[in-house]
Amino acid sequence: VNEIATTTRTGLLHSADLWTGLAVTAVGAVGLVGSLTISAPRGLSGLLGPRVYPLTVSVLLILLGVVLVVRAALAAAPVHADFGRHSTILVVIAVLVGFALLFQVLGFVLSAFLMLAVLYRFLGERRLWLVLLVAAVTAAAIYLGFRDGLGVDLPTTPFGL
Amino acid sequence: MDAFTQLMGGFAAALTVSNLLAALVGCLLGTVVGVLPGLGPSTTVALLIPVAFSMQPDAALIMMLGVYLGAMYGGSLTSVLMKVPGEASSVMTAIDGFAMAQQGRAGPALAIAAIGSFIGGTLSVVGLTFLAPVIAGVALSFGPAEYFSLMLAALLLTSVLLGANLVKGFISVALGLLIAVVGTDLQTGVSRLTFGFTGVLEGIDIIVILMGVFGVGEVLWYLAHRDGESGDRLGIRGRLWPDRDDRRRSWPAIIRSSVLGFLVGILPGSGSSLAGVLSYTVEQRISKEPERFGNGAIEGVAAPETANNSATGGALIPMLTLGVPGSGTTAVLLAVLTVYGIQPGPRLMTDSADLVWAIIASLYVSNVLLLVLNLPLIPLFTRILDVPVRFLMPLILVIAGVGAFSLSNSFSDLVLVFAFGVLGYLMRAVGIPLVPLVLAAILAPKMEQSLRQATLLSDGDWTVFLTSPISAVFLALGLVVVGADIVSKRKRKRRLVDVTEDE
Repeated sequence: VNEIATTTRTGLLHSADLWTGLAVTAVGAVGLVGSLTISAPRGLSGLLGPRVYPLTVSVLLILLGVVLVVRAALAAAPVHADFGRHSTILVVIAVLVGFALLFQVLGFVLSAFLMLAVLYRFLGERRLWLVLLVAAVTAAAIYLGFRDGLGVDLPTTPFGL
Repeated sequence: MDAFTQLMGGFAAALTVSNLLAALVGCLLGTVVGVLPGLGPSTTVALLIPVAFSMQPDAALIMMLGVYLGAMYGGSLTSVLMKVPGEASSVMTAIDGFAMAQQGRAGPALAIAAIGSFIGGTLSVVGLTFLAPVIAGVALSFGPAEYFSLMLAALLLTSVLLGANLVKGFISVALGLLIAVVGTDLQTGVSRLTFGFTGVLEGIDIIVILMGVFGVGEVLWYLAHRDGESGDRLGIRGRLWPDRDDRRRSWPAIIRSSVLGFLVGILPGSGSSLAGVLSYTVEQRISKEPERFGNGAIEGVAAPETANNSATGGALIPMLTLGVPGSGTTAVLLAVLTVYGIQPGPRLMTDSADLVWAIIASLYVSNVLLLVLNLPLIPLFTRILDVPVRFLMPLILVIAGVGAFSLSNSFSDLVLVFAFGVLGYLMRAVGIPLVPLVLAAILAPKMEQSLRQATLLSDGDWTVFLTSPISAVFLALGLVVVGADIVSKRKRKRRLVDVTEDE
């Protein structure tokens, strides 16, 4: 009767649910540690204090993570994650990190121009002049739109770019 | 009668030049994002939040609701012409809509989609007009205990309805609840879960979460999964207007789907996509010729397109009357209210009556605008698809980044919006639904506050949540829904096993 095969050891390591469960448990554990270090003012204990709620949620996360890990171990076949094209996503995330780093140094216009140009090129636009033109116009338009339309001055370099 | 008088006042506000213009801009923008696959109403509305800062509350909300409605109208276009749903809510439309287009009947398919959308959208606003004051009136008597249980039940329902996996739905909710804790506790002033980062001492702005998960996250997902440039699309040949047979078949489907969509929309977590799927299934079940479905049945276009629009009116009910949003887009709208310092909840309809009725009236206006705009502008809207995705998606990333930065000139918000984008992408990749996280993060501060207030009022006796009848009913409802989901999935699994054994 017990036909449901448990996942083989190698299959389990490919299970997205296993890693998700572990990650969720880890987040819950971090939350738990953080919750325990919250210094509750005297007299405010139990449900009235600032600790109970985050503590409860953290424990809940740990439990849910464990449930997911157990289910992954008992599953007949590993559930695979759908990350899409790894190369694309890694490059785009790297560009986002680069933008965040450059933003403080170069200001908005230059860093946005660079980010847009790199992404346009990466996503398949071959004509370099078009890449540079659209990136420049777009970065400038967003800057002016935020400044004149929304009254937000985005940071720029001392040269005003 | 009272609702009617207030609605007339709302029309007076909604029909001013600036608000009409806001509605028009919103409707056009919504249709555009509806047409574009990979861009949805929640993404667009989230990205518009920085713009909302510079507008009057009524104009901003009217524009955003125009986007919401317009996306439902626009979603049908690519479904019919390319079999690529522009929105999740138009997935079912693609089946019979594309079959009709292949038979040279794209015109009637798009026309019936627009007409159905109009009727469904308008009927659901009528429902909203008369139901909202009643529900808000009842909710006024809720104390903190009732409120806590209501929000808990809404979150449980959301985890059940969104996503196939209950555990993953709960994980999404718990993550949202935990993220909301980060920052300074308003009642005691102690900092919680900040781990020494000063940038999050004031908490993580819900708008940063929304723009990250819905804006950056959606773009990352789309870029990782897009397959080349847009494929072939069928043109509109022949007549545009549905003939007598089309109309005869569509009418009953439109009326049924209006009611169904509205009711489904009210439930937290269900929204337009579920409404579309359910209405299609219902029409196929009760049809005398179910074999026509999938081969170009016009009811198969009319039903989901009507239902996804009538769900919008329903979805606004819990958001406006209880302060409990049921979908991604209404969650963003709720966050926008708080941006203006407007406290959502049952008092909203009395305290900000002018605003609420202007919004409701604008929904009638926007539905008319969309009906008028939609049919003549179809050729123009299809041209939008010629805008290369490689230029559009990076633009959204930049706007999300600086939009978050501009909220309080904070560099940490820029980093956080990207971080939440990556989180949203990862969650989608492993099958964890995003909307429960967002809803939980929005509701969490109020939930915790209600929890503490209720225990304070009852002198630390937590059984108050069970002894108050209304609170107990909400809790019981939440548990019943979860229990029913577990039982039905067990059964389904067993049946699946049975079937395979038979073979």
